Amino acid sequence: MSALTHQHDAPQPEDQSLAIAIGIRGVSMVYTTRGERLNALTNITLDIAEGEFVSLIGPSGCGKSTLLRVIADLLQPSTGRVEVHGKSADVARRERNYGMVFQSPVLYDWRTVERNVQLPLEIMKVSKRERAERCAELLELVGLQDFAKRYPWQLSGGMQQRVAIARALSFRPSILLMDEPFGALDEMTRERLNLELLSIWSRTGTTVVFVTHSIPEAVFLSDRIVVMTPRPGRIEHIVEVDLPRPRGAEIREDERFFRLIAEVRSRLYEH
Amino acid sequence: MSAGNTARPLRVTLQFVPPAIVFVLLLAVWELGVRFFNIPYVTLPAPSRILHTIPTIDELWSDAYYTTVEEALPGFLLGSGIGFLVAVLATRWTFFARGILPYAAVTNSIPIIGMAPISVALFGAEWQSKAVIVAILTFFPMVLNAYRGLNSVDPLSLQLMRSYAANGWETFLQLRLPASLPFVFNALKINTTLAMIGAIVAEYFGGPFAGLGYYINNEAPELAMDKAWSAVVVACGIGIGAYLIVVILERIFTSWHVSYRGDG
Ligand SMILES: Nc1ncnc2c1ncn2[C@@H]1O[C@H](COP(=O)(O)OP(=O)(O)OP(=O)(O)O)[C@@H](O)[C@H]1O
Ligand SMILES: [Mg+2]
Repeated sequence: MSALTHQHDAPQPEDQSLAIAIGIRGVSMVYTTRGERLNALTNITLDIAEGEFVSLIGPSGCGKSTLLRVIADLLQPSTGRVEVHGKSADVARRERNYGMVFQSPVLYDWRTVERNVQLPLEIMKVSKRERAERCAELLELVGLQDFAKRYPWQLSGGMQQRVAIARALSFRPSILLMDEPFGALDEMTRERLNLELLSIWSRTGTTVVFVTHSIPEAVFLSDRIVVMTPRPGRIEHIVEVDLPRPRGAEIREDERFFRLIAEVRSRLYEH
Repeated sequence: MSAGNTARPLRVTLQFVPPAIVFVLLLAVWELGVRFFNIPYVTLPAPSRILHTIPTIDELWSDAYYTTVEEALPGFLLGSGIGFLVAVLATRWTFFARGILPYAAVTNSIPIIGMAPISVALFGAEWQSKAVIVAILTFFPMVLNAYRGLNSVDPLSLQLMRSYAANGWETFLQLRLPASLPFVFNALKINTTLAMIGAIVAEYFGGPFAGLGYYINNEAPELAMDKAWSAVVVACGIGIGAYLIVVILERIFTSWHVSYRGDG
């Protein structure tokens, strides 16, 4: 419950008073397919503070999804380790710390919208009444209360993605891992969902790691932007985003917004 | 939504119109052909004659259809059930899959006509030997389809399950099982047909001295073609009935599936 009341004040990672939510320590990932070795990640070290919003950006194939999967304990890193709230990623996963959202909504066709949102809660043996309450609350949060009884395929892509976000938030994970969640959406829907995401984030105090290909999106959302480069995948630079919060649509007109976009872009194209 | 619902009964009715027209035309050609060319009924009886014969055959209604169903149904349930179970085990344990799936494919290549007399020798002349034939026949389509269905899940949805720390049983129940249902029903539809064929053909090879296959096999050499045809029509009726039952169950359990998402 304390997570719900947590307030944001642009956390500074250097500030030692802030607890570290995710500690990535010297993580490397080597894929071996048919004898061929591929260095997807090389010696990644990064601390992410509790309640921080961090974006990963970089060219295709630089290992963003791989890094997200390593954090989520869906992949074992070849070397290095990940600590979450001081525990191993494996323990963090078993204690249900991770809410995941992918580029595609991955909803279950045979479940209605509300039953999709309740799926994690069913698995976690939450009582029926509590599930229904939580689900209603979340559908309200993502603006889909009128679509509870619909099936996923009766919804637009943007609506489906909002269901996926509601589902990821349903069990109040302390960490939200999002892999290009809005990548398949049109610009207008994307910008509206960006605003919604920020408002959800500021209300829940969740730590977010967000993969994107869109520089404006990364600047608009993040406290920090991690710029990655491929072959081998590593962190090239970290851009601090010092835009004030709460951020509204008007910040996209701000001169500092453009300056940050230019900075990230120049970092991306350095290689 | 509401417009689609009110239009539904009409659309369903319209669905049956083209096949019904074709059916009636076919019968008409058959009937007129037999009359026009004066074809004797020992060669090919007219539909009207078959229709008149069917209710007059006591054996058909006293035990023939029942005997065949008594062989086909247990065989169908056994073959499909074991097939599904094997598919589940093969999905759960890769080792088991590698070990058993090739043998499942072997059952498909068993020449069933050749097996029928052997089955009689092994399991006796009563319904059991026929049910075994039907079970062997229906086993493979179920293994093949169910295994494919259980493994048709999106890798991302498996990763989601892992991120919820769901155990194997929950992943099976909430993800693999529902995803497999469209495939399982496909196999069941194929198997209703196979079960009738299996039971009838198996009856050609000895006991019980009843059943549709036995009856056809007895009447055809006697040139009582109207009687033989009557048995064939009854077998068709049973097959279609069983198929429709499966289709109804399919609609109930997989109403969410792509194939039912009306276009209206
Ligand atoms: N399962 C796998 N087996 C082998 N190689 C893989 C696997 N997954 C990813 N890779 C390779 O690892 C590298 C990083 O992949 P990853 O998916 O993490 O990149 P990404 O930054 O998410 O790219 P994109 O922006 O296109 O999503 C790529 O070169 C990719 O080909
Ligand atoms: Mg990726």
